[in-house]
Amino acid sequence: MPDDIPAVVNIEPIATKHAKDHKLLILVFTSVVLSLIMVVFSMFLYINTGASQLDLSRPGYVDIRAKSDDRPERFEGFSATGNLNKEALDEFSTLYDTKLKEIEMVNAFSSDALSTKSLRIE
Amino acid sequence: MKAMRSSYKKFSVIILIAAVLLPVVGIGTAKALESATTEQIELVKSRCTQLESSLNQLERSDALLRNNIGNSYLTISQKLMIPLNQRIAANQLDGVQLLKISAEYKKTYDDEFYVSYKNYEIALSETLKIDCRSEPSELYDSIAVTREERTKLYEASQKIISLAKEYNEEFKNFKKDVLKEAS
Repeated sequence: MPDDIPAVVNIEPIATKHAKDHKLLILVFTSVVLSLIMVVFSMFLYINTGASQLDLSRPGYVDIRAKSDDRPERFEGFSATGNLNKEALDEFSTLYDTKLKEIEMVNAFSSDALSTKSLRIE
Repeated sequence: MKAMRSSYKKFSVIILIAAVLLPVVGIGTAKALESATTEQIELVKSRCTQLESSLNQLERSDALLRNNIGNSYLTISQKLMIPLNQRIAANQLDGVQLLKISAEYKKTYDDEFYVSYKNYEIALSETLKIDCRSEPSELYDSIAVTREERTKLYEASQKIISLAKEYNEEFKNFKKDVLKEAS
């Protein structure tokens, strides 16, 4: 056997060799790219589902959030289990009437607020 | 050849109908979004600060209203309608009509109220971005678009209230029937 021929021939591709040499760098880079993709996807969902419009933690809405938190005591609602006797039906009536009055009382989002008259640009 | 002539005739008729209808549609759109007159533009310019302040205030009060009224709408569905429907089913009673109304109520909330508010809020935010000093005409037009979105939102809100009332009426009938059967 001649002396100039190596005993073991390294047939590993150059790309694999490079990857092995820069393991940490690749790990960091991949993590950054993955987190960027996830942030973009989350922002896409946040904006497109309408969640951003309901988010009262946006800058400038802090005082509104405080007002929103001033809600009356927690409403337990009607139980989904049990008999449907007169007492249960009366209880539902009372609960439902209270909530119905609550939503009827508010003339929510009347277009008058944006009329040229109320904005005084008639 | 005959087939070609016939399709050419059909095409001509379609074009003719389109030509007649197009101005009608155009007039409708133009009526919906009439552009501002010179006096109105001057008014927008002169009341610029107050206008910006009013719109800002409206955006903030609407955010609070949306949060509170939206919660009330959801509470009616999640804590009253659904539990009652479940209880009716568990007691093997006939509540098909109540079930239908509650499904319609939830659908209106999701597909109309939720979406309308989103569109309205986007329109209002876009309006607030416009500088009323340099672009008064654009601001006027944008307010008109926002007003239309607000009208849609109002209609969705009214529909929800109407369905809630309908559910109440149906519940009263249901209650009467149940008590009649029990006695």
